[in-house]
Amino acid sequence: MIDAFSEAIATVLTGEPILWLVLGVLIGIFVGSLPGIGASLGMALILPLTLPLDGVNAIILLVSIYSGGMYGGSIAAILLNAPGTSAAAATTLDGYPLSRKGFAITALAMSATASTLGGFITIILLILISPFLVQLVLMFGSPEYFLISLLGISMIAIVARGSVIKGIISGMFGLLIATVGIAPMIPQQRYTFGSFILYDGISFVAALIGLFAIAEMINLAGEKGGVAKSSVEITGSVKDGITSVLKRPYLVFKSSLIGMGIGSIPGAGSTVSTFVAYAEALRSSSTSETFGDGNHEGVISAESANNATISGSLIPTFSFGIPGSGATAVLLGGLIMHGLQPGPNLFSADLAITYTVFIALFLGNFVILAVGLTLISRMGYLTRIDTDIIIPIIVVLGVVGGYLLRLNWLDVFTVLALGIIGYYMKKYNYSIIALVLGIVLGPIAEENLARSLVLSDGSLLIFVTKPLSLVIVIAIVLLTMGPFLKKAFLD
Amino acid sequence: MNESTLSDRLRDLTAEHALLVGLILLSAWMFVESFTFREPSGLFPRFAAAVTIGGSLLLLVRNYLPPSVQSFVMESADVFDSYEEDLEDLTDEEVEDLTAEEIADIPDEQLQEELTDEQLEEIESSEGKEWSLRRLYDDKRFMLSALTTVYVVTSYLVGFLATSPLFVVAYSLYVGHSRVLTGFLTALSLAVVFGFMQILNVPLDRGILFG
Repeated sequence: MIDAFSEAIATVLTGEPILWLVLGVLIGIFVGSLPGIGASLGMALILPLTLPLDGVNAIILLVSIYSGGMYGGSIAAILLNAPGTSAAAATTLDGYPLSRKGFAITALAMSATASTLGGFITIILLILISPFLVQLVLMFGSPEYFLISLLGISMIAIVARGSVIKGIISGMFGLLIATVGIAPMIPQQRYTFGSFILYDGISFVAALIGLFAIAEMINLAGEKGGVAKSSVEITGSVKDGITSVLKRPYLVFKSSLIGMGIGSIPGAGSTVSTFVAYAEALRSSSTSETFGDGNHEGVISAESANNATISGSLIPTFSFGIPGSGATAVLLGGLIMHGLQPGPNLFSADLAITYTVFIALFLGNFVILAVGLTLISRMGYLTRIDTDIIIPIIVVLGVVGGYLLRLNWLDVFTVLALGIIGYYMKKYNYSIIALVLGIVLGPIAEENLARSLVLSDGSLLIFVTKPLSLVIVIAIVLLTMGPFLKKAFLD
Repeated sequence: MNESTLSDRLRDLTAEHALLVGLILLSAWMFVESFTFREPSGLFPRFAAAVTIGGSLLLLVRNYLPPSVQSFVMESADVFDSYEEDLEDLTDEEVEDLTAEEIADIPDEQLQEELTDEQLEEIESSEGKEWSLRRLYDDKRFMLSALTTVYVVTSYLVGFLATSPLFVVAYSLYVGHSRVLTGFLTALSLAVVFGFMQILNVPLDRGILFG
């Protein structure tokens, strides 16, 4: 483990990973600061372009976009009351009132400092707990992998904001899409029409590009006006912002832990973690009456939690291949595309790669702090870029990127079809994340189910005979019943 | 059922109905087809298709279901939804508190900024649903979807190098960009495609008709 860590530090110090992480953070801040664009879309667009890169550098680039995007989301949230990403929604509550009072720079400095500290704390924690994660992951066999992917699919109930039925339909439609191609374990063609290009199935990366890039652009095209609907004067003090965060170490630490903890639950994601951290800050604050009116603690708690969520979300993604959000689904796509299989390998043979990504993420926080504090007075420009300038370029990148994945036209038509379907699903509140979870987890679940049944000669008892499996089965039952139990409890 | 009721109901049809019918037809075909697969490879698609069909049917006929079933189909049971509701309460307060007369007094541009997309769409849809070419042309979402579809199909025929700048020019003309901006975006799209061709050595200048 120490050897892997030393190797990771040596890899980062070669310089190239640092170049990609700086580029990634800058791209992330840019896409994150544009309301409606966000980290997932930026990562999905960049993913096909990482093909010529070394696997480690590609993952560093993607994870840095994710990290930069999380911070970038707060810029529009503070300046425009329009969160760049859903994770920054809680930041609007006190960030925007601060801007209106003439403290936009103070709020942006608080956001950069709190995001950086949240990232630092949780990456260190992630590195410290990684030996235990290794032990946990090594306990998993095919039955447990099937159950854990089923657990991920069950998360649809949590992920699906709004009607549970709509969430289930989205998830199951995703599973259906994933069944196209050759079946696992048995050489059976499914829905291929005998066409060779369908043998490998529908690329989930192409699906992600369609769902995140094209669908989002169609949605943005219909919004009135440009990205920025209004703006405030950029005034305030960087020093006050930094001091305000440093004076509240306990709040930063507590919010970071909340962000990491909730981030590690697939499906819960940063939107939930930031609101829980905000609610906890409100509950424990001695100045709770000023929350919603520009309270510093409101901004600090939300911003500490959102970058901390990244570390948490890497746990299920790297350990089990279960993405907890759109961004981690794209990251998972990057891992697979570059031949890095999530699971035990990433914590044994490829442990140095895992540590390299963690270290890069740690260093990426310096870039966030540097960019956040030095370019703070220029941030307003980003939010004033017109949507109509961005749309055609993103469509070109999305469509061409789809072709670059495997050099086949099926992926391009997948991008287009899922872009249009995704737009209508989003319009009528069908969960896109549930659809993505279905597409990503379908093959994992099916393959491990088939393997488990071969191991047990067809007996389903294999899923309840080991304590670990039993615990996961109970968790699945509780999760599936959760929404209905909650409703019954409230009634 | 009299004629006016039928036409009223037809007018109530939305793209969601088309989406659900599409999902049902696709899933039904996948369900039937799965019986031709060697077992157990048909199990998974059959299960997913059956649930998709069932759920879509429930949503399609939700207005005709008994109230208890309707509430099961429509109600949110998101275990984390209280946080989002808190945010909505805080952000929507200002608009929700206004009376109809006060809303009527707000200038159109300001109203569009303050109302949610759903509220705006509701207002737009209540203004009449007659389709015309002009209406379709004014619908930016429709036009972007149509232009993207044409872009993909023509790229398939003649390659991305020729079609990408044309797509950008078409979109820029449609939204009324200045000549300078249109030129810049077109050059950028050409540079992006040409850059990929050179760096990745991918034949983006070829389609099925040329290449």
